[in-house]
Amino acid sequence: MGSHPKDVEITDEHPKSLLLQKHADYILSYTKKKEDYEYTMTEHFRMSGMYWGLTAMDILSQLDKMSRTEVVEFIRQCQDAESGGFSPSLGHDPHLLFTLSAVQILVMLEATEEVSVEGVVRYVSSLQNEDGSFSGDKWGEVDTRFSFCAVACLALLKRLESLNLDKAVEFVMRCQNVDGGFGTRPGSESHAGQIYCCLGLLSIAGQLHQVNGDLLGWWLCERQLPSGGLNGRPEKLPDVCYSWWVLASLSMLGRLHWINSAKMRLFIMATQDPETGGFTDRPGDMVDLYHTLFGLAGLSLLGETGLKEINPVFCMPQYIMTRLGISVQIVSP
Amino acid sequence: MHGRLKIKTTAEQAAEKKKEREEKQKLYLAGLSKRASGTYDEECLKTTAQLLAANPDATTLWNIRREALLAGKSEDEESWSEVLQGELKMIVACLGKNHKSYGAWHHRCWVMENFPNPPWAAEVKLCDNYLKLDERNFHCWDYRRFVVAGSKQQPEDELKASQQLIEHNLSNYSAWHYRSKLLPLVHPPPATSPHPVAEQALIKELQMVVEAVFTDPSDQSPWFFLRWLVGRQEKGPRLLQVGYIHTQGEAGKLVCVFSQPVPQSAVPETTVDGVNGGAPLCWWAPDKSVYSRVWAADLSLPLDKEHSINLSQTGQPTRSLMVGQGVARALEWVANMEVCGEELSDTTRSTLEEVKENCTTLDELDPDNKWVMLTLVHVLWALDSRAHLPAILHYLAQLQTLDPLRHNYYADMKSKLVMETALRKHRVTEVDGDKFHVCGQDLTRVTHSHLLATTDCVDLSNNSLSSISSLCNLIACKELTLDQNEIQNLSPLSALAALQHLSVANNKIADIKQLSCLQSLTNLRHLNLKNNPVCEMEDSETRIRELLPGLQTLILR
Ligand SMILES: [Zn+2]
Repeated sequence: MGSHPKDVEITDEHPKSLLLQKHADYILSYTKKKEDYEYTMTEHFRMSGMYWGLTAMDILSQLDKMSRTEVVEFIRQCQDAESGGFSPSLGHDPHLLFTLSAVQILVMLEATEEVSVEGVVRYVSSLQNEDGSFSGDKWGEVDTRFSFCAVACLALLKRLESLNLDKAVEFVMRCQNVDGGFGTRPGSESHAGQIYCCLGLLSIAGQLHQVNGDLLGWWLCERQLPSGGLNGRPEKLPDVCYSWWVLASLSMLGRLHWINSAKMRLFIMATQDPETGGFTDRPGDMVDLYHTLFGLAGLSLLGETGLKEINPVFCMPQYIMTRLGISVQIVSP
Repeated sequence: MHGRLKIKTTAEQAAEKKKEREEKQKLYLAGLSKRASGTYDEECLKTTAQLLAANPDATTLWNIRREALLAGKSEDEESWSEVLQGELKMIVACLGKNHKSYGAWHHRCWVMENFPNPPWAAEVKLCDNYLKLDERNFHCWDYRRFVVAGSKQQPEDELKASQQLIEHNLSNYSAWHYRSKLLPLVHPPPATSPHPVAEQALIKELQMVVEAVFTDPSDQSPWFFLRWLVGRQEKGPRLLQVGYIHTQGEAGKLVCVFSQPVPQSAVPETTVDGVNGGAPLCWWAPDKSVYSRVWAADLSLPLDKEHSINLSQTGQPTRSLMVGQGVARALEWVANMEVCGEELSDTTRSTLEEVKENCTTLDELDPDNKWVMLTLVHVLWALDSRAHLPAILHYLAQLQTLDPLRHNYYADMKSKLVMETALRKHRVTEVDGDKFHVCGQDLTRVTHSHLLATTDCVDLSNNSLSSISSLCNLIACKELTLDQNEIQNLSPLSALAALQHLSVANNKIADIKQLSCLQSLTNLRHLNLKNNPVCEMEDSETRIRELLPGLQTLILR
């Protein structure tokens, strides 16, 4: 077979094994360089950045190096007293995306009592629409990502009864396409990130049987390119964050073995930056926290030694889910 | 965060960036302080516009902007429209910076929703233009659907638009996707049709796609579309079988088998005269899940005399089954094995035959094309999986070599086909009872296990099974043989109460803990564990006997 028109090349120059400590150092230094250009430019999604960093550190078994007090204090300040939701950082507006990140961190650090849980529940349930969908905030943007955020949030807080789960499932199913995948809204094209969100929601709701696993599993495993990397839609370039969205989706469908994990592993390894630590989207690009977490999480799903086991639905270390007694639905092939 | 090449920055560049950042920071704080004091003036709109043009993903800035716009909203429709027109221009500037900005596209929707008379037609044009720049931009596609819905543009016109985009570039997956959404609207199939679109339209579409794949068979997008067209709509769940299982030591069970997983509430309310005091039966699922294809209910008395069983379901007439003396197993096949495929209409058959011919020609012209082979697999499967079994297996084997990344996918599909074919052939006979075996066929998974819920003897030896989770459905099975596989975990068998003989010789059971799940099987008398790592353990015999005191035979070597 000739070279794929939309792919990258992995050479001997690229790292082949996990630079575990480099990544931990990168995350640690990132949180310390508050004056950095990079740091200020990411203020509008700081809360998620924190979740990416903390979760990655936990998978690397170095969570204790992060300052719990500082993090919890930051989260406390970001809760909007009026609506109950969380903003990405001070001076920004609350949104479901950051509310889920905040709740994930709080659960991870066993600090939910530091904020108003009632406020979170009120905020999340207030954003559900008539048709079961969720708006990201009061300005009304609807997206299946927000459906996942809402359901995952209340599942972590064990308050799922506060929203209409049946309706939420119904809306997600309206977003399914003929290729078996899911999009942002009814009619939208399938996209690996949205598929992860929709499957995650269905898994939490115990409704994965509504999905044709063979059809969707095939679409997902077709995301793997000759380089070993995965793209998020047909005819697109591979990207390390899709190793998470696609691998986690295949995991939930009990079909992780449908991709070639040895080649996948090598692709993820090649996106490490041996100079700075951290992972990039594709070999040769700039590293960031987002791709660092999803690179590590993908490797953890593939069973990489030295990494803690990750939960495919919540993208949080499995021991935390076990501690909480939260189980998710995984179908058998 | 995507596609940013790593470039070394000089000290000079770094200093410049720092200055730039400080200025933005100042502007941002100015915007926030205006908001805090409720001063939504021209200055506020100017500042946010400047900041958003550089960073259109900063959601809060869009929010401030909307608040400012609403605060200054004039009662006069004309001037309000003018303001909103200005917004549309401002958004175009932001999209210039990032045409995939969620915030910018959402703001555009908000603006359109606030217009007294939204300029829908112009927006359709705008979408055309953005899709020319990037035909896969899903933000723009989503916005297009929003605009089309608002403008009452006819789906026929959009179908034409999708056709043009496809003709321009066959690998435009987004356009094919759009088509798959529009076709059922423009050409809806009759309610009972197994096809996604009306037959006439289906035939025309198939011709179009076949032409497309002949133009460039390496383009994957049309193949996904073709697979959808030749596939059939999944029907809703149907009750396939009502069965009776008699297990030693208990009165027996009734079993309901469905084509799709259903919740307990979908199982018909069932009463058996003289049994359970005439009260409705209590149904449970073998894998304890909320949705299941198999539901069983324990009876208080065996069905050893004549009985009548009444099944009632809301919206359907109550059905009665008469059971004679000495009934052994299946009472009724409600729909005999139709799960594995249904009759095709003549038109569909000839259309599929045509696709088959075309793909066979392509396969000769372009012998190593995986998409051609994969389509042949689907088409032959849909036509007659039994008659074409050797051909399908041949293509799947070739695909495994040709496309090694997805080797296991093809193996699993092969297993599904083998199971389907075996189940179609599977007949319950008076002499041999209900025996099912698929041996030495490289099975990597067991599909359709719900169709074996009332089978009492199952042999799946000499395959490549590592997971047996679907075997939890074998609730009537007395004799289960799984020799020569790759099984490590036996826990799916823990609820098979009828099991008397279990043979798992030559597997990978390494841990004695794996056997504790067999403790619940009170009828288990014979266990063959030969050639498993666990047999090598010291005292294995004593320890296993201690764990499973009911065993009569235990084979370890
Ligand atoms: Zn990415």
